[in-house]
Formats: sequence, C-alpha cells, structure tokens
Amino acid sequence: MSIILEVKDLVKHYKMGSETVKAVDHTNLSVERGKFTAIVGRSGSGKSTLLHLLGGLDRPDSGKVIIEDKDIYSLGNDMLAKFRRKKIGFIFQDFNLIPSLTVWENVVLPMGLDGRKINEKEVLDILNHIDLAQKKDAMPNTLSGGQKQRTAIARALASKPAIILADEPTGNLDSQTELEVMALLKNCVKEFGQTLVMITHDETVAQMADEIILIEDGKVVNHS
Amino acid sequence: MDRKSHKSIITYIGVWTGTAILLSLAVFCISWNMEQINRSRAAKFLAMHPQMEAEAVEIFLKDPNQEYGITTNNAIELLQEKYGYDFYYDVFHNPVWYLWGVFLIVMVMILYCDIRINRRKEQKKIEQLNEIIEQLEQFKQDEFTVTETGRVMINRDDNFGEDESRWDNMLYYLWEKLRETGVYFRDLKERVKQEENHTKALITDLSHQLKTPVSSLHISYELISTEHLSESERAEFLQSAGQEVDRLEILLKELLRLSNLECGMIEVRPEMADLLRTLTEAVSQVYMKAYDKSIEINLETDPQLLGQTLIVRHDPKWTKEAFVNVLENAVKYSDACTAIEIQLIKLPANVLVVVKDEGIGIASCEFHKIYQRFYRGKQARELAKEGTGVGLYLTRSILERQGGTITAKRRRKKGTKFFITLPL
Repeated sequence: MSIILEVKDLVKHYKMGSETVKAVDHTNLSVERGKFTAIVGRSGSGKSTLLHLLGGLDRPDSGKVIIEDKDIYSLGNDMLAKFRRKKIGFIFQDFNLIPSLTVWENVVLPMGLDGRKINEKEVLDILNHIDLAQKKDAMPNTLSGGQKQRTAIARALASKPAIILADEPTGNLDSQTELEVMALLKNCVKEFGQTLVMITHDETVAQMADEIILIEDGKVVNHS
Repeated sequence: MDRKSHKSIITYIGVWTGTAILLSLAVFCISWNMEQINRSRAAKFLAMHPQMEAEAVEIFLKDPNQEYGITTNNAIELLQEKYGYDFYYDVFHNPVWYLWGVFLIVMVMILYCDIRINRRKEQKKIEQLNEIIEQLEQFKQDEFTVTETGRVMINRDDNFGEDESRWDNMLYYLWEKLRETGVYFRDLKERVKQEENHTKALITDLSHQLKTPVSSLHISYELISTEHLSESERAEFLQSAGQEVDRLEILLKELLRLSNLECGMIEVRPEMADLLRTLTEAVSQVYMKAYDKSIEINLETDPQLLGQTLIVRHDPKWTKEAFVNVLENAVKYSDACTAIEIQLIKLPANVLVVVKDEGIGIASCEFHKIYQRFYRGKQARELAKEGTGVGLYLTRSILERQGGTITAKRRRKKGTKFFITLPL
C-alpha cells in the first residue's frame, strides 16, 4: 500500500534544567494509507511529542515529516496552519469540544473556519455511523464521556482530512466505553477510507490496530 | 458583495471616468484654441484700426447671422470666391490636428503594448496547460509523482487563497487535484500488487503447512514398507501414519475454510438475527469437548435480556464460527475442571461478548500477534496440541467484516479474557 505519512530522521530535544530530554531522537517511520497504526510506548517515551510533530503542532529540531508527498515543515507558519486544518484531523484525550456550541456545530466548526461548504448529508452520515444523530442538537455538557469523544471523532472525520491523529483518545473513559468508542472509531475510519494514527499505552487498544509501532526513549524500537 | 464583482465595478468606473476626462480635455482644448484665434484676431484688428473699437466688438464677439444675415456657408463661399481663401485647406492646417495626431499615436502605442502583454499572458497560460498535459502523459506511463513544475506550483506560498476565480488559484487547485489523482492511481496499482502478493503468500503458507504432515506420513510409509519389521513396530508406525492422516484432514478443513473466506468465495452476509441464539449454538458446538475435560461453560446475560431475543445485524453462520474458534481455544488451552465464563452485555452502540477462561494465558508480547495468520503462541506450540494458527485470524477477519472487533487481556490470576464487539 502507499505511504501517506513518512518521518525521516526526526529530532526534537528539550532542555530541562541542565539536562537534555531526547523526546524524539532520530526517528524514522512510515504509515500506510487506509491503515490503523498504533504508536505504543510508556509515558515519557516521547510518543506525544512525536504525534505533535506528525500533526504540525510543533517544529522539529531537524528531520522531515512528509504527508501526501508534502514536507510540512517546509511551509511557513500560516501555510502550515492552513495545511493542518485541511489535511489533519485531531482527536485528543480531553475531547476539546467548545462548550457553548451544540454537537452539530462542534462537528462542522473546522470546516466553517476554513470557509468550506458544509455537506450536511455527509455530516449526518458520519453522525449516524458514530451513533450520535439523535444527539446532534445536544450541548456538550449534557453528554457522557463516550459521547463527547464520539463528537470529537465525528469532527475529525467530517473535514475529510488525509490523516487522523489521535492522542490517547480513550484515556479518560472506562473500559467498556473504551471498547465501544474504539469499535466505532475503527469502523468509521474503515468506512470512510481514513488513515488513523493513534498514540496509546493501552495494549487492548493497540490490539485493534493493523500496525503497531513501539517507541522507547524517542526511538522506534519495533515497527511491525 | 464578493471581491470579484467589486473589482470589476471599480475597473468599469475607472475606464468611464478616464474616457470622460479625456473627452472633456479634448473639448476644452478645441474651444480654447478657437477662442484664442478669435481673440488674437480682435486684438490684431484693434491694433490696425484703433478708432473702430465698436465695429471690432460687433465683428468678433457678436453673432453675424442675427443682424447682417451672414450664414457660415455664404461666408465661406464669399471669402473663397472673392479672395481665394480655401476653407478646407485652413481646416486641415489647424494646430488641433497635431494634438489629435499625438493622441492617436499614444493610443495606438497603448493598444500595441496591451496586445503584446495579453499575448505573453496567453503564451504563459498555454505553457502552463502544456505542463498539465505533460503530467497526464506521465500518468499514462505509470509515473504517478507530480512533475517539478507541479510541485513548485503546489508548494507556492500564496496558495490556499480564498479567491478561487483567479487563474493562478485555479491552476493551483488543478495541480492539487492532479497530485491527488496521482496518489489515487498509485494506491490502486499498489493495492492490485498487494492482492497478488497476498495470494502468493497464502499459497506459500498453505504449502508450508502441508509439508510437515506429508513428509512424516512419507517416512512412516517408507518404514512400514521395509521388510524386517516386527508386528508391533509395524502397528506403531501404522498408528502414527493414521495420526498424520487425521492431522492432514483437520488441517485441510481449516485451510479450506480459510481460503474460502480469503478468496471471497464465501461472503459474510450480515442480516438481522438473534445474536443470543448464535452464541448459544456456538456454545453447544463446543459443549462436548468441554464436557470431556469437565470444563464448565457459563453463559451469563444482562438481566434485561433474559428470555428475550437480541436482534443484531450479523451473519449467523460465520459469527457462530468466530465464537466457536474463541471457545474452542478456551477449551483446548485450559486444564480439566476449570470454568469458562461468557458474558453478553448490551452497550449503547455495541454488543459486547466477554469470554473468560482459566487457561494457559497469552504472553503480553504476543497479544498483537495472535491474530496473524498461522501464528501460534509459544506456549501453545509447546503444548503441541492440534492447531494451525488459523482460528483467531479467521475470527478477527469475520468480525471486522461486520464492523466488530476482538481484543484480549490477561486475567489477573490465570487465563485470558476475550472481548468481542458487534455494532448494534
């Protein structure tokens, strides 16, 4: 299958007092289009930093992140922000929903920000798939944790990005809700032909992935 | 109002104002010129005949037609006939013409430049279109990356503009689409290749799996054929040959199921059916094997589901197969006199089936490998029980085709928990 995301010799070091933390240390990896890839590692192994770098949320010290043949760090800040909005969907552990907007408004917000036309039928289709259609006019504070995360998933899917990056998306959920959200996420990603890269330390979640990348001390240990 | 129509209105007003100013300027020049001639004649007349002031005013500043009946026409004729002053000659030797000439030349020059610029622009557009043709030509020759020009075009910094009507922006979108098309084609091609490799790998795996029992069968057969062999020895080899044949048979059955599913000969066809029934059938299929080992199987459901049906979209036949595989593993890799617990839980959007056993368990480093085709855990192999490593692979494949998932966890004391979900 073709490679949608490629990381070449990526380096990101932090200064913590007098010590240098090698959060990402000469990392190389690639993600295939349409696959669900899990990046697994203990906390502090640098996986969150890596995901931020994959999504253009930070800038590396050196190395390249290539998404759909485009070296994203060759872009200026404004262009990078635009590229990110258009091509990358994010799902975070703490959902990042806007409390004053309804589920529907939260889902279509990124497209609205970009001035893109909203295809209501498509968005509704996504909400149906993720079992949120009845909740589309609900406010986030009336939703359960699983429903909040499903809203965030719908939001990531709706803008039809090239790749979806998820950072411990089920970290705040109990184990049954975790299974439920993961099953829905996996299905939606497959249904809509999306590519998913997920960071997790949960071995049950990682089992659902097509590919597992193990990270230790900022390095890829095992790329299966 | 969008920027585009705003712009065209500004251009329109600009051109109109320009023309109006230019024409007014011309009219002003002409009347300035006429009045100058008139005044200089009056001054000249007064200089020649200072005593005729009243006549001068009469002649130069009042309309001659009113009091003397002299029209322009007969004035022209009179002056022409009597004094030979050619009116048309004078008209064409008026200095206004020089002004007009300069104006015309400037206009022509502007027009010329405009045409030149436009032509150059057009030339550039043709070149840009040619580059696109070249790209399409490349696609035809199996080269799916974007050409250098295209890459420059896509990576230009002023892209993502809002104004989609501008040529440059259109061109950018076109290249972006071309690049996407290229990526799509490349994918398609690689998927075909992948499929091919997949089939090849399957065939290699299959022949590899068949090799071991066949070769041991071969050895047994050769040994039996040798003459100096006691009856008991012969019986022993015959028995082991028989075991190999049995193994082959099991293997063949498994492989047939696998290849049926893999080659898409059997499609998983989800329908609205009772999952509780499917699960019960799966349990009864492994019940005898469990009974032989005195393993207890407990099926526990949500209290609200008791005596009810649980209609879930699934393929009963294949889903039963999936459950049987998990349950068979649980029976196979558990000691006698243990228990297997099955829970059926209805979640908001999924049905969750939990299968807990007290068996040998799975090493945590093996958890993501157990679903691979022909993978058998280290402990499982050491136990040397029958097995091909197909079961869980098949189970996952069946479940995923119906939007389901399967994951496993270590139980705290001993054994494994399997979580199976199917969408409601």
